[in-house]
Amino acid sequence: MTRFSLPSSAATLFQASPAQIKIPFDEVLRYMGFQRGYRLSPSEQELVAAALRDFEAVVSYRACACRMPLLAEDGLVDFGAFRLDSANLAANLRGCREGIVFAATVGIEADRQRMRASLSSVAKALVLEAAGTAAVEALCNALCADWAEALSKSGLFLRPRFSPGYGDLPLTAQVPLLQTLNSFRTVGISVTPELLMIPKKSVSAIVGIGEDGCRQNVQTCELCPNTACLFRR
Amino acid sequence: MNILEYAKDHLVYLDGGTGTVLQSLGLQPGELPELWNLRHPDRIVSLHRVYFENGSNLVLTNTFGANRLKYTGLDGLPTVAQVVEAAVHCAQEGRKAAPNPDNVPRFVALDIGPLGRILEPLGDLPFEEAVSIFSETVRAGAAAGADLVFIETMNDCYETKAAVLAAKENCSLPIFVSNTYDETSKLMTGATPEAMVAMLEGLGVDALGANCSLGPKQMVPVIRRLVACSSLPVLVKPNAGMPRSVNGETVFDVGAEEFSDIMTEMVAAGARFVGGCCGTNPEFIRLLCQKTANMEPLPVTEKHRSVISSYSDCVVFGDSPVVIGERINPTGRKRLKQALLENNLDYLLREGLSQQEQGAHVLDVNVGLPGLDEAALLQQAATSLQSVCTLPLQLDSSDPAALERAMRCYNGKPLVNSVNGKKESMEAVFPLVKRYGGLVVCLTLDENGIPDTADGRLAIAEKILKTAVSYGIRPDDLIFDPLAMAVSAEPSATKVALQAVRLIRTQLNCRTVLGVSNISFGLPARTALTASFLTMALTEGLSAAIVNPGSLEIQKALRAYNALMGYDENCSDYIGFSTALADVAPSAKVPAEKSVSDLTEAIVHGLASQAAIAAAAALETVSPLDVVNEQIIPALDIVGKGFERKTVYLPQLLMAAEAAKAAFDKVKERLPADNAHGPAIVLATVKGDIHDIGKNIVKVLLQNYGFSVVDLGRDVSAEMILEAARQHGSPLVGLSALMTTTVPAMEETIALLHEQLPSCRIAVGGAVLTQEYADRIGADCYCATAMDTVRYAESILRS
Repeated sequence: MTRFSLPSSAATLFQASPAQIKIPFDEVLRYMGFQRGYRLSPSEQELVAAALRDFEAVVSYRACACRMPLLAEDGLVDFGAFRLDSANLAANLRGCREGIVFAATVGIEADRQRMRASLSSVAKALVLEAAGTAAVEALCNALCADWAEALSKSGLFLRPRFSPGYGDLPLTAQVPLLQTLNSFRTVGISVTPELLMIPKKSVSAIVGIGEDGCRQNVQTCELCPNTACLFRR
Repeated sequence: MNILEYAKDHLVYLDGGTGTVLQSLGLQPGELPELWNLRHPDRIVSLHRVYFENGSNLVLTNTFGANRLKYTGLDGLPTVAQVVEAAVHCAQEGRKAAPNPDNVPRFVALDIGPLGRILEPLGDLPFEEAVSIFSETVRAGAAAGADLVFIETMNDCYETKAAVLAAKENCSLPIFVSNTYDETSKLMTGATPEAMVAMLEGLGVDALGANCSLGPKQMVPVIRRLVACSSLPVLVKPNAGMPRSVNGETVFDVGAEEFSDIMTEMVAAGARFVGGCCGTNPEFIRLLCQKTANMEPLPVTEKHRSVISSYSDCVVFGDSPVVIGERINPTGRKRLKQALLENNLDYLLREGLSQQEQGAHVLDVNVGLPGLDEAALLQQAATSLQSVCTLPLQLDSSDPAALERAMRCYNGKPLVNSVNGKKESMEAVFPLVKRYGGLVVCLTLDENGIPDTADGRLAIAEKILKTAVSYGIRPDDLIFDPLAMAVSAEPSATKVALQAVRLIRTQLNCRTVLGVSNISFGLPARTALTASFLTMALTEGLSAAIVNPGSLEIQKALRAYNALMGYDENCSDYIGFSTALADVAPSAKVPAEKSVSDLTEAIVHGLASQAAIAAAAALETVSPLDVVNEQIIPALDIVGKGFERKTVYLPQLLMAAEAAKAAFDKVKERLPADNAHGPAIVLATVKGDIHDIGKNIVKVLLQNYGFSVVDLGRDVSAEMILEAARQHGSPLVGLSALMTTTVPAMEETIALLHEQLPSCRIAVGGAVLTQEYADRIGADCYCATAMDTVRYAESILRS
């Protein structure tokens, strides 16, 4: 069943209930720092399960998206309303004449919940932190999966998701992206002068729409200079 | 004619969408709409003219985003004043140009939208900066001749308050406020319609309501709730339904006919100011005017609610007693006193959260201690509590300056403790209540002290009531405390207090509150007396009690009273309470793991409750210091080494740390309060960075290893870090940064510390950092994990 329709050229809103977005348990454990395949003890199991229940009680999945024409060449991507200077993004969008710009969030109450948890239990705060990351990623994946499915009916393909901060696309790209989406008014995402998004568990991203199936499997970890990262795949 | 006079007996028609109309006139995506006030004034004039022609009596200027964050006056952009002045003139021109054969009064409202930034503590914009930004827009609008201020599309309670204060303090125009509710009838940051009404009425705005986000149908429940509790006229401006994507185009799914039909329902439900928001156009307004032309507006009635609010919820003082938790008060509480002296707000926050769990509805906050800056501390405590706790606060201070600071920055409408019958007290406190809003506790004492009789206390209450009304404060915003005195010193204390409660309720028709615990002062087994007195006072009609919600006797009295009086539907709360009572066996919730009696093992396995039990058992035979050195520390070391060898993962390390903390808490009960352990390590997330989980983890581990830690929080300036390191004589400062964009702030902080405190070492950590990066910015140590920080601290402080 397709849940998320394709966005239009003006900012389009999406919402999802906790039941609609499955937070992958393995991902939560991975963000917490457990190695793949580790078996939780009963008390660890209880810690994670209880925190996930609390998280799902406050989560508010929202996204807004905009389908836009674009021109990607010579390390530059031109969206009309704004241009982004990034060779990695241009490579990701090679051959695309349009794309979807979107922002997604799990809501601000999750931020407050983490602040509260860090007073009583940092272990719980850590689970909530991991759950927030896994949840916003799951929302993005669900959006992109549904869009890809809808596009496939017209013989179009969705390219891998690309966010400010990946490769050489600077965080400053956050500003025009979120402005175009009117993200504060539509989904409550704002950006600080230091280019951090609030609510913290939010994602802004670009996905290309291609006419061919040349799905370049850009593993975004490969673009990242932090080779010592705990979460590197 | 003034808009408020006109609205007394007329429906007022607002305008419809601006953005959607401007887009149809050629506004490009990304183009700032307010620039058109200067570049294309003809188009803006015509926008307003058409709305007036179609029946609007009140249009909003094209200034939604006109603030100095956007209009800096630099890089070819105009200043806020230029944009706003042009916008007001465009609206006035539109008004002039639209024919008005019936001479209907028409108004131009200065439109103020949200800043697009989230305020502290969730975001990074300081409250006073928000007030200052809004103030600039308000001044420009008032100077240009706007007839009122219209604050709209606010999705955060706190930002709403900042905008209202700016309007109150910079002009004398009427103030209308409209919030944006979601499909659950809450603001993005959680406030209900009732909570918003409480705060906005307290602040003294002239009309309130809802706009944007929802279509008219979804907005009906919000409007009904607003009308039900508001004593002010209600305004409504829904969207033309929800935006949908149809063949790649955005369309709104409610047309002008359906829109205006639902809007007549709103008028029938009591809306006084009606218009449209996104997706609506002049046709929507024309039909709305046509269909409601013969409708009489519903009268606006006084609801007589005594209410306070937090950023999300409100508490009504009515029949069922309101429980005010008394535990955040240093009087007689050594550990809290020490925490305040050390500026350890975490302790205070935990105290607040545990009272919430115990069933408090409101938290009293009193931080008055000799030698401390009470005004600064009360504000800090209130702000911190409001970052994590949903309960409204009772701001408790005898110092009006402290009350003012806390009331100003309070998110919602506070309970204010207190004013009394002394002229000086009323002159100091009532203007604050008028300015910032609040329900104020009035003590029945005056220049002559506390009267011995209930009649004497009633007389003072009457005087206070009369004076409050002369300041424009509603009697519903007063709650009288007729003072419970120690019955051990004054045998008639109980009778007099009870009689006074009754008199104030029956003669003045006002609410009452008592510091119930005072009654048993000086006597043994106090809770039995306190609980009995509480029941007696409730029976006399006491509205609220300041008590320790953690006391079982008090809980029994409160829940029994509610059940017996029919305030507890089906006695379900009482039944739940009785089941919980039966469950309070100490070993109730042991996880399914094998039972561990050994303290070391309990810590290693991260079992907090078992660690506490094991520690208590160990303390029966072993000295407290030996428990620490021979059992707790070795257990932590096992886990810490395992983490370094990667056989133990971070969550397990943290669970062990929490189990160790539970054990430490048992040990502390046996040790003198003063167990300082060497100079403190200062921790902070640097300026501009608001991530703090890594820093919090480091803090917990350092504390576990016996280090004393001063946590400055997140987004901390270099100067504040320097100041704290100097004040505490810290040999080590730990800095955290998560994003590349905030590493420069870390570099500046390191440079400042090295220059000013050459002997202080600096450890850095955070997702973005590497050894190479840390070296480049001059850190003394790079800590990849929290355990690295512990080891470095050991090498610095214990070598």
